[in-house]
Amino acid sequence: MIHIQKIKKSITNELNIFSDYITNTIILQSHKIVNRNNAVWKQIRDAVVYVFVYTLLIALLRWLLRQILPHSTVNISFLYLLGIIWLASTSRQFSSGLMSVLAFLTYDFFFIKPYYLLTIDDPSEWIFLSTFLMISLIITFFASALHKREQYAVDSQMRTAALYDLSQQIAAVHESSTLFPIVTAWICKQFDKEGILACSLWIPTETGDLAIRSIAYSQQNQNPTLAQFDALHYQKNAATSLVSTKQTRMIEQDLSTYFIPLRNQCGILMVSGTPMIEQLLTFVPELDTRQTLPAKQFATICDQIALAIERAALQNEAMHAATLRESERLKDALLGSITHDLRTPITAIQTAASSLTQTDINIDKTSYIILIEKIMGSSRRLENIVANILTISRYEGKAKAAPRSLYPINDVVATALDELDTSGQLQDHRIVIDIAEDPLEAIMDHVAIERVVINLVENAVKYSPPKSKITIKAVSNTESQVIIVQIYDEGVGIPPTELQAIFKKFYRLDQELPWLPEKIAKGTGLGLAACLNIIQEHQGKIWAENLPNNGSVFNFTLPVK
Amino acid sequence: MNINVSENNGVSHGKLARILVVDDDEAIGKAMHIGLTKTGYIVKWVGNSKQGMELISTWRPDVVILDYEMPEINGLTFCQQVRLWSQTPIIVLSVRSSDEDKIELLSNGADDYLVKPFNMNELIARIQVELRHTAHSAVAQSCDAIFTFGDISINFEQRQVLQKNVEVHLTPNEYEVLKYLATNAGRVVTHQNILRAVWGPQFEDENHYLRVCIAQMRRKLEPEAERPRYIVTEPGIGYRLKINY
Repeated sequence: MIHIQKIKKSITNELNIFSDYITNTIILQSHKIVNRNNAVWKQIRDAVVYVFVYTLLIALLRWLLRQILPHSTVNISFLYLLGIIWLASTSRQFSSGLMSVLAFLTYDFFFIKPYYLLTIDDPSEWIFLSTFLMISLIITFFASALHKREQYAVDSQMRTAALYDLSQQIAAVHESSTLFPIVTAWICKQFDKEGILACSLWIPTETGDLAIRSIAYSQQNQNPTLAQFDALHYQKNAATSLVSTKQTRMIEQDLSTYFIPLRNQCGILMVSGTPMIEQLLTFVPELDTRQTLPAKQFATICDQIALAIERAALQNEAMHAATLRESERLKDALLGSITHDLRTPITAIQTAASSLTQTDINIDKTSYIILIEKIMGSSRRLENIVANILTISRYEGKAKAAPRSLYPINDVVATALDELDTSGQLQDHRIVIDIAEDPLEAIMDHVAIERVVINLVENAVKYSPPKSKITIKAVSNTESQVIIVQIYDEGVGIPPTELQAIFKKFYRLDQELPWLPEKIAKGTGLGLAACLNIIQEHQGKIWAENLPNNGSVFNFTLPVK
Repeated sequence: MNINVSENNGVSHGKLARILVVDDDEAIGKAMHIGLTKTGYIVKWVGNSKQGMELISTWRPDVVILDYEMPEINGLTFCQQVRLWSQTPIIVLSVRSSDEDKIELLSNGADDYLVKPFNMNELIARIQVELRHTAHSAVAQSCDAIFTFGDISINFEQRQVLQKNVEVHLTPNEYEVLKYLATNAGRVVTHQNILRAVWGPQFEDENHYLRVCIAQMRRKLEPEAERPRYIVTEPGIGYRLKINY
């Protein structure tokens, strides 16, 4: 029941909308006819008035001349001709033609003997008068042609400017969703005079259905109910014209609706309006001189839309491809890293565990402890690698970010150091904490920032000799509303050219570390990359510097607000 | 009465304490079984939540160790259901859960939590804390006139805190926070709980008050305030008074 009611409602709605549409259109049209009639009358009136006034002036002039020079025979006919030509050339075609004829008759009537009659006595006057008419008509013709051309040039310039403006707007937009409303609104505004009342864009969705992506109404179209027009009503026509790539026309009473397929089936442009819009749409595929200017412009805009849509789609594709490539690269690098770095601790665990399970060998207490510690250390190393991989994939996968809150950096540092302490990583170094205030708070996801501190301190430990000092400093910078955390070491430092590269994924500095038995540091190239990801996600900065004497400092900032 | 944790190792009310492990991972379950049995507890390990609940009512363990990510009934529901009819302490093990999850667990019946992978010694310390708490609530609480941890002793009757027999001056709020931590010694206490108990319910979300207060207490009580040993931070959750130092 409800369903039927719904349908009924939608039908009534639709009828209402269309009746509104129609009334609107009819009112508009009758208004236009009245306008046109008015214009014709005005031209006739103007022509009569001008000729009358000018004739009076000339008559006055002749009378004056006669008073001043009673015996001379001044021919004022050329003076009359000059004035009429000037009037005709400045008026529109119809009125200037009318003026020529009127002037011809008036001159004959008033200035050629016999006066006040339309007959001519002197045959030479005949020749003069016909020449007069010919010249004024020719001038009229040329002048109005010039007029038209000038107007055409102005119009064309304005339209070109508008089109240029639109193409600029389109070029600035990269998202197709923001592109559509711009285009439809522009069409409605630009082709308002040509009778367009509404315009909408239909774009095929992923499932192949057509969906209205944007709809705009022209300013003439002030009826708000038009805004609710029913898409389903047009769906079939739109789909047909998209498949056949031919314009479909739909006429309901006085309302014409056209479905114009865009190039390469990338969508449908629907325009509705008065039957006048037909002249916009009779364009031939090739630009043709016979086309009117608006029609040319309309054809151009259709091509522009198609191009813009295609460009947006290509851009999407390119971005998708780039993401894929990057994730492919990440996967490759990850696999490489896994075979290299994850195997080492796994091998250590397996070797140690298998030694412990060997029943035939008697293991003394010291070796037993060493083996167990090997297992513990390696498993911690594994845990660390996994934690960093998780961080990177979490932040790059744009998974929902962990909630952030104001949190004291003091607690983060203490927790991170406790964590490192339990895994025995700090036993060979002297750790100094120098935090300006307690609590010194910043906005953070404390788990992620703890990971940053762990990675940076671990790095400092790894690249600095035993017994050296590692200092963790934190101060607030009230000016830039951040806190700065610094981890100083007295280690080997970083080659100046590598100061930025070290934050890249899987980037490893194979630096020689004389105090290690194997001389080369072990690392996955994940730690600093994870730090960079986390800090960037926090709107902070992270960078490394070398210290003047020896060692380096890693800095990162976190926002306070 | 002085509390020394290592004294009642594995013993509750003069008998061996019973520990129930509910974890569907066999490797972890077995490892815990071995580790805890060696420490001196009677241990039962089950791999599903329903069996776990049955055993709580029939076998009556002293402490339950529960894996948060159980297949049928998750940790939160398990705690809520058990709390309807039992006060047995529950320690929850979880891999990585958000602060909100942990706080929700703690306010829905869990007594403590431990993040995997964890250290066996840490787990044993947590079990001992729970056993001690059960023992104390069984006996009268008032007998705890003096509470000692590290080189600090609190005299509740005189509201006095001594460090190496020298009095430490704490503000009333600092004393109240310390007292609250001491009555829950070894256990995690959430920010909200401390704020509610000391400042009042309307200050539940004023974490900053508590942070400032804790920072001052650490400066007065800790040998190294930057690396607290007694009043340790439970990241994102609250604080814990560590007593096995």
